Amino acid sequence: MERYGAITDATFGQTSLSGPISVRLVRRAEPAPMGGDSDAFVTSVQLGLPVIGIEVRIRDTAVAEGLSLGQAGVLSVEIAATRSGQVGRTISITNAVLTGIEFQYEQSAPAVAKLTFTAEAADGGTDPFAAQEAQP
Amino acid sequence: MSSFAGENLFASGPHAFGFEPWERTTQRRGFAGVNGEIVLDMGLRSRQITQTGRLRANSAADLHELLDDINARCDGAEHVLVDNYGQSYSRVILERFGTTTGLRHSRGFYCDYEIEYRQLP
Repeated sequence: MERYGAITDATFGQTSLSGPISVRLVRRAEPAPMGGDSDAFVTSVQLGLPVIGIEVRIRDTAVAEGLSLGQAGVLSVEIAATRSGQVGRTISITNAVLTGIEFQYEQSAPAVAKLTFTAEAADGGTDPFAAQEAQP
Repeated sequence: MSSFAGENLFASGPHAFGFEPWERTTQRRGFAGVNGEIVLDMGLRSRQITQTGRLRANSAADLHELLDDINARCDGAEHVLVDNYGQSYSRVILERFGTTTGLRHSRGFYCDYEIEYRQLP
């Protein structure tokens, strides 16, 4: 089990997503099940096109207010290691499209902006998601 | 295992058959001032059999080859169709074959298809 520390940096295009709280990545493909008339169970599960969804929650709601739906760019997140000797992680989505902005204001609690992205593969073949060990 | 014309064409994916009822055509004649009618039996005609399913192959070329093999059986000739339960149907003509999805790539290559047969009595 990997345990990481602070999210040290999160950027979307030229915009720094300051005050990052969490990043959630989901890779999902819709199943297309099928079975024949002599089958008791599904005998073929094919997959639709995979969709990579990303959700970034940040404290800086002013930054989120400056973003527009449909905006696209590189989404990059750097996560620090928790202890010495461990390396952090750099996650990047080469072409993330901003599809949702959600603000949550709570009484006596810091406001949170939730940014929702869907990754786009410009050439239809290259995985837009990449994760690697952060450079020390 | 199903087959058509003695060939195992559909084993790569699941498929189901649907059988339309046999149709017996009649002509009805009535006469002015006479109760009742005359019914002319024109005989048993034919019935449609439909097959829907999915074809799978490891490559697009293999899948095209499979599609070509099925298309080659759209020859207007009568063949024997065997369904998934081993039941045979004689005098079956493959009338129409087509894919209902494009060739898609996920776990290998696949496409869904539909076939219309006509069985003669």
